[in-house]
Amino acid sequence: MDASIVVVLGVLGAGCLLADATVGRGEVTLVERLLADLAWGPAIVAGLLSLTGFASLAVGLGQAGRGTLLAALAVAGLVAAAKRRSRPPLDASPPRSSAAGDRDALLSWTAVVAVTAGYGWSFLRWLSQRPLGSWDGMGIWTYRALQWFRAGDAFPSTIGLLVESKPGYPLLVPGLVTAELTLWGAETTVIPVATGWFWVLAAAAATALAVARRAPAAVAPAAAALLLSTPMVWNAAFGQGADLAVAALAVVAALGLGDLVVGDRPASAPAWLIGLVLGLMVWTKNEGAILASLLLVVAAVVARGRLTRRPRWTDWLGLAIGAVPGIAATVVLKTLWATSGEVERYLAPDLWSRLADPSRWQTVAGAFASRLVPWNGEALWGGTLVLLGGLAALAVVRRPAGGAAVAAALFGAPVLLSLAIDAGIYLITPEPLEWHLRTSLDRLGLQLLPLAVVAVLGGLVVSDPEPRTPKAGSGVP
Amino acid sequence: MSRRPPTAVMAAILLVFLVNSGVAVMLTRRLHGPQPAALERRYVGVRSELANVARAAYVSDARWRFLEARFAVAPTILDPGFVARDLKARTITGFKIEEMVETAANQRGLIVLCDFKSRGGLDRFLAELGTEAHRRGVELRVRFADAGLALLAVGG
Repeated sequence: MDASIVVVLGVLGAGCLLADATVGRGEVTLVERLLADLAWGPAIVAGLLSLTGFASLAVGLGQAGRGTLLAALAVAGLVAAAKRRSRPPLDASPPRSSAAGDRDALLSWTAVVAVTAGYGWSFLRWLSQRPLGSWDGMGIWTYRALQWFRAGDAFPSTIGLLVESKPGYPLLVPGLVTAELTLWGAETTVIPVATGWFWVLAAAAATALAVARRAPAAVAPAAAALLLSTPMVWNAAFGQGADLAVAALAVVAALGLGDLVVGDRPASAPAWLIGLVLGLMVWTKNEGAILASLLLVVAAVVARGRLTRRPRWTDWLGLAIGAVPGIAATVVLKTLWATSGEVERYLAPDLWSRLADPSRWQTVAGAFASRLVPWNGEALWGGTLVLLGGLAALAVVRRPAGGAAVAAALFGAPVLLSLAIDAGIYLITPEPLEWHLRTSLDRLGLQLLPLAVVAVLGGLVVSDPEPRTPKAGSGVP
Repeated sequence: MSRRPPTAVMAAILLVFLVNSGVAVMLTRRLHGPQPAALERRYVGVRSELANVARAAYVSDARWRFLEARFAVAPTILDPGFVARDLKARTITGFKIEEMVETAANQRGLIVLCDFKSRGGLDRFLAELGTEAHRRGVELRVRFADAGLALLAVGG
């Protein structure tokens, strides 16, 4: 392993510092604030670097790209340092809990530490045995990053040459890796592998933070430990794909949207930043666009409920403005640089015959159901889906109410809707159906897993009979 | 709000955590190298794209010498990108397969580079290739083939 990991750690650290200056006003303890920094930091810095890199190419800055990246980091750092001085002080007296609750929390945090150590071992293992990552990692995402890094100014004209490598796929992950390679100044396998830490930490931190909003203290680290121990997450962390990035961004965005519409505490993030993360989901993967839309629609619907507050029009404006960079970059990429024709293939004339084929319905249903069997295939889901499904079923029988129902709807409804859309896409896919299911269903599930964990552990299983009363004027600081 | 989660829930999470961790460790232990050699080809290809010679980009001189040494076959190669795309579009039928078999029969051998994303795709391709070879009375020996490795050597 060469020293280029310093670049990854430095960029990650810069992201956390930026986050510390921007988010976390609702987090009153040191642990909560650290979690908020780890949740939002990777998204902020990944968006900053990939979008500035892309923009510098789009406007013809070309080889000045490295300077643009460094300047972007420097300016953002200065702004962060200036804003950080205005942070509210931490609460020196954390909430009291019972001795049994403390014991549960200690056990849960021990599990988080243990599984994080496991990720350290996994990182070294991938680095030594599979430095080029998973098939998608080396065939699409890291491949694109290397193409970008090597091509420099010529990248826009080379991106569409090899259709097998999906040139129309969005560029958040490749852009981040390219920026890190640019800062390091040479190719290395360490940087693409180590960048997996961004999404591992962000997904775990945001999940824990979102659960901590609503559940007893011990459940938050338990939720993070459950997420991180899931073999599918473990397996994807350093495989250099983009699915874990979508998962992390989705739960970060949902965390922010939840604060915005529940409104019982100062929001963790300003609306423009939540919008930025929603836009970054679009800029990460095509599925991210669907999931981001669902998160937004569900939040808007939930906001009309009795226990929530309706965001002000300035909040909606902030969301919209924040989402512009990621969406605009994706549109430029797909319309000017690398037109793909994917949608046309799916909407081919034989669409209706595929949709009306009962055997396809059966195949799709069977594939979805098989993921609930812990020993299915490589056991990529372990016992996680069985546990979440079981707890959700029990909780639904008990008819969740109050804040629990709001949380379950905010985080759970996008999961169910997304699964329904995924099933519909499988029904009409022009690809060989069984191959398509085998190679993508687990990855789609991974994108939704953190949201599902929060919906169940932060919503459905929480005994919270007291309806929360929104505070007038609270929310965005 | 209750400050302590239900004991049964915490116990269930802990149990699943332990099971999951065991599976994850097993999966990680199974990772082993070396990386598929074909990926080196992809990266080589990127460099050549910059020179706008994508068709020739798949195989560098060094890579080519490696293939010759490894499989001891003649340096005949079909454009892999177009082969791969045609295979998909034509469901592995048509002149491309015939061309491959003909080339393999006329020369000492043939190396085909193509992108198979699944074992099933590769198997279908091999079946088509074998059928065509049998029809022409050509004996083919597949020297190396694996899904994802995207490297197939056919000895005539």
